[in-house]
Amino acid sequence: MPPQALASGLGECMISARRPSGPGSFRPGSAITHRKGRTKPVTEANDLETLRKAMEEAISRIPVREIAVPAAKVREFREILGREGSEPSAESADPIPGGERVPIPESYFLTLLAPLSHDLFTIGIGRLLGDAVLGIIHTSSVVEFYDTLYCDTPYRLKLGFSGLARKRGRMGGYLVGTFPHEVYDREGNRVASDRHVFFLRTRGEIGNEEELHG
Amino acid sequence: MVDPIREGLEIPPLAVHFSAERNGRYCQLVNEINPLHFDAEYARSLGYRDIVIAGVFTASYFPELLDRWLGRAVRVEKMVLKFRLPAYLNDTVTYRGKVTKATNEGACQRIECDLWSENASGERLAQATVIARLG
Repeated sequence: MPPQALASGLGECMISARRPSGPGSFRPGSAITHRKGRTKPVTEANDLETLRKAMEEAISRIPVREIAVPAAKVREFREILGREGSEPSAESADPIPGGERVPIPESYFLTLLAPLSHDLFTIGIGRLLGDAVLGIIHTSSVVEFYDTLYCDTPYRLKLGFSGLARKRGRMGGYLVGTFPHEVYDREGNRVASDRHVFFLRTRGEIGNEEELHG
Repeated sequence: MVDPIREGLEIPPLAVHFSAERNGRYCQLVNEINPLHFDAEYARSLGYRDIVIAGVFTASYFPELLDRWLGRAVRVEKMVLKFRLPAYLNDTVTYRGKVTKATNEGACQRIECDLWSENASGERLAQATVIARLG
């Protein structure tokens, strides 16, 4: 299968030696503390359960991000989409006592989540699996909105992990990971979510054929 | 504004050219870290024919398609996305869709749509099922 047959969504995010080192960059070949305090590259772990637990731990270390999307950024986004000079319409938003806030259009939502995906690639998968992962491919998403999101309003972005399975295709082995991205307001109400599924193309056999869900 | 909305209604297509300028601006906006989305040499080294447009960017046009069609903001409640093939730099991608379900709920209308994107060769790149509320 040609690479483009698998590449979709975000496309592959390669763990590459060309990537600059330092905070936020991938560190190929990183090791993790593994069983009884021994340090062992997770790529040597040959069972999916070990890998799942390591992934869960790695994701849990990713801090919750707090963001507020400036209206100017949304305006620029809409210009990029081809909506020059237009503002997000407030007519669809629920009325706000004391004034009108600019809603974040749903078209911006996946872009809003980009920092979480970057954390997943760098802090999570990159450090955990290192150069055992050839590429990360966004294959599907399930997005749900529970409330309107507004510009210049603080939200908390939380990355989760809910499942890992190993598959094998014509291009070799890969892992299928499900990573919920959730958005909360300051009161702790979930306002939107995205159930992100990534394929992780791997160099060799990582884990077994078993499918697990955390 | 389109009124009334009924099942089977086809949504006017939206053609989008993913130019270098458009893609570059988007990469800057999100501080893109994946060179696949801005480095052609890198992309080719992986077997792609050119820079791959980020899926989250291409998927932005699904809600946008509804928004432009209805001439007013639509409240998307749920969107199920599946990516099949990449969109490349300088591709013109056409977004299409049709209404599969429409129900009236008081002053509001809830619609379900099947949306998809395709390249100039007619290959389907991504598909989305969207549930949205109007009014």
